[in-house]
Formats: sequence, C-alpha cells, structure tokens
Amino acid sequence: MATITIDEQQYTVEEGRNLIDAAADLGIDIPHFCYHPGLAPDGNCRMCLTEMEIRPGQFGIVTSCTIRIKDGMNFRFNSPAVLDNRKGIMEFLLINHPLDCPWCDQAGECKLQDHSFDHGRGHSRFVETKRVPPKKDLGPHITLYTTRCILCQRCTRFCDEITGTSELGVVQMGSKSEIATFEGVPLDNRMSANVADICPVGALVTKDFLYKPRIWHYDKVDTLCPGCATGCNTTLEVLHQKIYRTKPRHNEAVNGYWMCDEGRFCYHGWQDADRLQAPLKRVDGELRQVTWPDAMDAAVSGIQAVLAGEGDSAMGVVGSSMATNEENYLLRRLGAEAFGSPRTGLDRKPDGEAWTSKSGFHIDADKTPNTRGARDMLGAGSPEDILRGIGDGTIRGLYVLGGDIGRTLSSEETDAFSKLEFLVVHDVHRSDLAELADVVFPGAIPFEKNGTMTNAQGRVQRLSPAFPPPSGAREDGAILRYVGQRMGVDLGGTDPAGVLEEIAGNVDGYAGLTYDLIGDQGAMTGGEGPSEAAGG
Amino acid sequence: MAIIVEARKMTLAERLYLPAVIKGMLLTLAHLFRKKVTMQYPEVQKVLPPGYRGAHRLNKDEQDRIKCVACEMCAVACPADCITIEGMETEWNDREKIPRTFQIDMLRCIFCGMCVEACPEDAIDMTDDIELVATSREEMIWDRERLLKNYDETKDQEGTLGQVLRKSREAFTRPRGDQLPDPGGH
Ligand code: SF4
Ligand code: SF4
Ligand code: SF4
Ligand code: SF4
Ligand code: FES
Repeated sequence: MATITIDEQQYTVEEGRNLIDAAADLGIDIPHFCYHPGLAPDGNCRMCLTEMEIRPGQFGIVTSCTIRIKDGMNFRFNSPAVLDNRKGIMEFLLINHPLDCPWCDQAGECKLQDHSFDHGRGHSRFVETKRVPPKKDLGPHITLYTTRCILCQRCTRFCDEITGTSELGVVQMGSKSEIATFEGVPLDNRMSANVADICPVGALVTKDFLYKPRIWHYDKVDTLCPGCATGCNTTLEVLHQKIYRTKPRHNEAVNGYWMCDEGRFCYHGWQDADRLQAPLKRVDGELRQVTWPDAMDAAVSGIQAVLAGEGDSAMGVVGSSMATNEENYLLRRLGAEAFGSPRTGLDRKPDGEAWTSKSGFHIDADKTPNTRGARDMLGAGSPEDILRGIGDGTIRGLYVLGGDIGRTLSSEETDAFSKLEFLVVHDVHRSDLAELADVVFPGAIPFEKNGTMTNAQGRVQRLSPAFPPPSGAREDGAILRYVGQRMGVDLGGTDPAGVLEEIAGNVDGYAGLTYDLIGDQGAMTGGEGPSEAAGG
Repeated sequence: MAIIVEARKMTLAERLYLPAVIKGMLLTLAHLFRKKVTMQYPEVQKVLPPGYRGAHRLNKDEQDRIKCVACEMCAVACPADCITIEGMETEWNDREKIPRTFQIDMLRCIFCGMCVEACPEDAIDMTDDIELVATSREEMIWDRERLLKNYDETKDQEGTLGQVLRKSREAFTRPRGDQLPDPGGH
C-alpha cells in the first residue's frame, strides 16, 4: 500500500498500480484514449496528461497511463496547466475528426464524444478542409471508418499483444497516418471483433452491429457465452426479445476483457433457429403437434411401459452439456427416483478446433459450455455406454436432454436410437434426434436459461435469461419437474437457487456454493469437498 | 365531526332570479354588435402563426431524397415516446444511413415540437396541417411514406417550426472558427 496525494488530498492505494486504474478505484476519472487495462500502456494519445511533483515543490506534466504508483507521489489533476493541455489535445484530436455522431454507431458509448463534451471547446477553429479517407473493409467482421480514427493504436496493440497475429499497423506519416492491414492479409484472427470493443471511437465497428438500433435502447443482461467450454463472461444487449449484440464482460480468471468471434456471433444461430412451438408426439409413425397434457400423458405411459418390461435399468437418461447444472441435476434425480437407478450418459464430444492466443486466451475444442458441470451432476456415464446399453438390450427407453442446435447424429447413433422402444427428447428445434423421438418437449436455448454452468477449469458461473422461451416452450427444469410430478416424484421448487443449494449438499466439489458466492465472477468447485459421493 | 354551515339568506332580488336573467340577456345583446370572433370553418381556414406545431413531415433535400439519417435523436427527445425508427445502409456516398422505417404515432404525440428541435439534420419538421382525421388507429400511425408525402403537400409553406427554430438558432450561435478574431501571436 502506498499513500499518494491528489489535489492536496491524501489517499491510500495499491503500490505499483497504474495511476489511471488507481484513480478509477477512487472514483476519479482521468480522461484517456490509448490506455486500456488489458493492454500495455503506450502513452501516445496524451489525453491523460496530469501534473506530478518531480522535484520538491516543482510540478511537471506526465502521462498518467505510464505512471506506476509509488509511496509519496503527489499529483495535480485539475490545475490550470492540466486543464489547458487537455483542451489542446481535444482540439488536435478533432482536427480531422468528422464528428458524424448522428450516424456513427459508437455514439452514446464514445469516449471522444464524452470527452469533447466535458473538455472540448464547443466550436472548431480549424478552417482548412478536413481529410476524408475512405472507409476500409479490414476483414470478415470489421470495417474501419478511417475518418473517425484518432490513432490511439489500441487495435494494433491488441493484434500484437493479445492475439500475436499483428494484422494491423499504421501506414503513412503525420496527419496522413492511417490504420491498415497488409496487402492480402485481412484481419481475420479468431478474436478479431474485440478491436471494435476497445476502439474508443467509432472507427472500428463490427459489420454485425452496423446500422442497428441505437445503443441506449438495449437492456443489458449479464450471462455466459454458450460457444465453448471456456465459458466467457458476456453481456447481451437485448431489445424486444431479440439479441442485437454480445460483448465480453471482464473476468480476469476466465476471459480477461475478451471473447472469441465464434462465441460473439453464435447468438444468430440460436436466435434464427426454427423453434419448436408446441410439444410433438408420434402418431402413426409421424410427429404431430399436441398439447402439453397430451404429450405428458404419452411420455409417462411410454416410460411406464418400458419400466414394466424385463431388466433392471430399462430406462436410461442422457444429460446435456447445453443444459445448466440445475437441469442436469434434476434429470439425474428424475432418473434415480422415477426410473430406478438408470444408466446415465452425456451428449456430444469435443468437435471443435482449440486455439490459444499469445496472451493465453483459450478457445476450447469442446463447443458446448457445460460438459464439466453435466458430468459432475450425472456421474461418469459416457455416450458409448448408452449406445452399448442399447446394443445389448439393457436400455430399451431413453430420456434425453437435447437442446443443442450444433448437434447432428452419427449413423451409429441413428441406428441405435431407432432401436429404442421409447425415446423422450427435450429439444429446441426439429433436430436429427427429435426426428427419432416418440415425444418431444420444446425446451429453452441457453440465452433463455437461468442457472449455473461449470466451465472446463471447474469454475461455476451464473447464466441469466435474456428473454423467456417462446410461448409454447418451457424451461427444461420446469418440464422435468412436471414429468416427475406425473410419476409421483417431487423434484422441489422452481427456483434454480434452491436447486443449487441441493447440489451444494449432494454433489462432490460443489459444497458451499450459493448464488451469492458465485456472484458475477463465478466460484471454483472443489472448495471444501462434501463427504458423500456424487448424487448421494 | 360534522360542521354546520348556515346558508346565507338571499335577498328578494336574488330570489326573484329575474334581474340575473335580464343581465345575462343584455350581455348577449351587447355581443351581437361587437366584432365576430368565430369563423365558418371549414369553408374558411384559419391562418396559423409561424412555427405552428401541426402534423409532422420528413423533409427532402435538393435532390428529392430523404434528409433523415436515422440518428434517432428525435426519438430520444420525444417525451411521448411515439417515434420508432429502423436504420439501413444507403448507396449514396454523402450519407451513411437512412431510415428503413420511420413511424410517428400521431395518437400518442403531444405536438410539443421537441423532435424538430432535436434533429441535427433539419430532417423532421412540423407544418400547419391540423386536420388529423382517420377512421382507425392504424391510420393514425404515420409511416415514412406518409411523412414524405406530407412534405410534398406542404413544401411551399412559409414559417414551419423547423424554419423558425433555425432562424432563432442562427441568431444565437457563436461565430464559427473562421469568423473569430485573430488570436495573435504566431
Ligand atoms: S481504429 Fe480505433 S483503436 Fe485503432 S487506432 Fe484508430 S481509434 Fe484507436
Ligand atoms: S472462447 Fe468459448 S466461451 Fe469464449 S467467446 Fe469463444 S466460444 Fe464463447
Ligand atoms: S411533437 Fe413531441 S410528442 Fe410529437 S413526435 Fe415530436 S417530440 Fe414526440
Ligand atoms: S428526423 Fe432528424 S433526429 Fe430524427 S432520426 Fe432523422 S435525422 Fe435524426
Ligand atoms: S492514455 Fe495516456 S497517453 Fe493515451
């Protein structure tokens, strides 16, 4: 800890911390453009100039972003020299800036707009013609509005320091300087869209968000990316029950300030899926839309028929790595209590391409968000176990939590599942799996779920719904409870926080976990292990 | 607890009522000889003052193209929250964005004129068209085409709200950079 003086007031802050961050912790905003806490300081924009005591009684102008706190430092943030400098820098930055805020997508979250409102002079003394370089297509996701760029070089440093791919650079000199890609090398790394987030102005924009409704319309929902087992923390921007944009949410232990492009744009696939609007039941070999009570009757009588046949574990259950811990846990309980110690399994194997960036950001090969959590909840069953069980006739009925739009069936799986006497599936669209089922319950997509998921590191994190499922569909937990009720098993209340409490009491590694403890940054499993084995 | 208020006793003249009736008739009679304030609407139309806040229109530029850039400033300013805009890309190279849809719910509008004041592009305006009649609620939601049509119908009008506001704004804005006195020095 160090004691520093800011405008003649004493504060205690962490030694070695960056001055801009330290001031932010104290609630003091030092205007800046080029500094980003996720990148090394560069000191090029000069917006953060403040006065520091360099010799006793003598102050000099310094860039705050390159200052690390030491005991006894003395700053002036609001002296005439500082304010004057700031005004001057603002004026320089706006020399060639078009100030086309009315149709700039950054308006409302633009640092240049905010700072020129707070520190600018309100009118321009620049009478020469502004430079109007054309906009550039930098890569599959990103467009550069060259006129708006203030050359803070956050984007180039991102490509150097974080991805290590160095696609972006500055070409030309002086007032002609421009951000550019090399000939024939587009900005197409797997995290490229992050540059639009960190660009302090509207120069770099994602093509996906261009011309969309203004940013102040959106409701923000903090949740997780369902794109892979890394479980990046995200904030969704939602309007009229539709997601318009995903942004990474800072979590140092998981994703830092970043997320990958696949994950960022994956909401389209989910949102545009042709969703099931009502339960389906097989009538005369064909799936027909039926009412909920009808589908429930069919499911329960089908399951009871299988259970009435010979063999011990006639029904199997298959959990889903797209479902929350709570849903998988309820499935396990339904299996154990209503179907009688069934075999369990888990959907989908890793099928993506893993990638680790220069800075250590990891995209997992497992393209589902909750494989680890589902396994923790369900025990060690694997898809092969289930297929073998069907093959040797010990599993004649199956209850599957589906809801994975990226999942297709292999030919062995199709063969095996067609052999089943009875198949119940939760799904969100008419997938391969749903086509084989006897009863399909329309469930929720990850963006509609409330609960927790466990990422590949074993970090349990919260998921919040952006909107409710379509009117004909239900949350998977509610469906499981309903089925349980019809089979005489009470699976408890509808509150996911309550289910988590139950999980904390019963599942290895989850002891002591609560919503409060998980908060918005998650909590690791395996804090203090409970004595019982998984599932009790 | 009840409070008993005793009614004032009326005088004989008051109880007769006749003096009051005669007073009223005299007033009516006097009006017959004064200047008329009513008019034969709709045969005769009222001349409205400049800056009147009647029905909206979406202005067009010299090339007959919509001026609006879909910035949604009007929608933000609107206290009745009755403007809905959806943007799209244009192929004109002097502009980035224009509205795909632009709706004003005239039933919700309170004709305050804030939208006109907020517009940075002089694209939305209010005219002296006060005859807002429709036979359904849907018809009262004016879309982009309806608002542009209103421009064609009223483009000759002098003294729309937008023009009045612009004039007063010009009178009050600070000089531009090139009009400032030379700061001196180098
Ligand atoms: S494009 Fe944005 S991030 Fe890159 S230098 Fe310009 S202003 Fe900075
Ligand atoms: S790395 Fe994984 S969790 Fe993170 S954004 Fe990409 S797909 Fe989503
Ligand atoms: S006149 Fe007022 S209420 Fe009507 S659209 Fe404009 S801002 Fe909204
Ligand atoms: S009418 Fe004016 S304020 Fe409204 S969106 Fe169009 S340009 Fe913007
Ligand atoms: S933030 Fe310090 S110089 Fe740019």
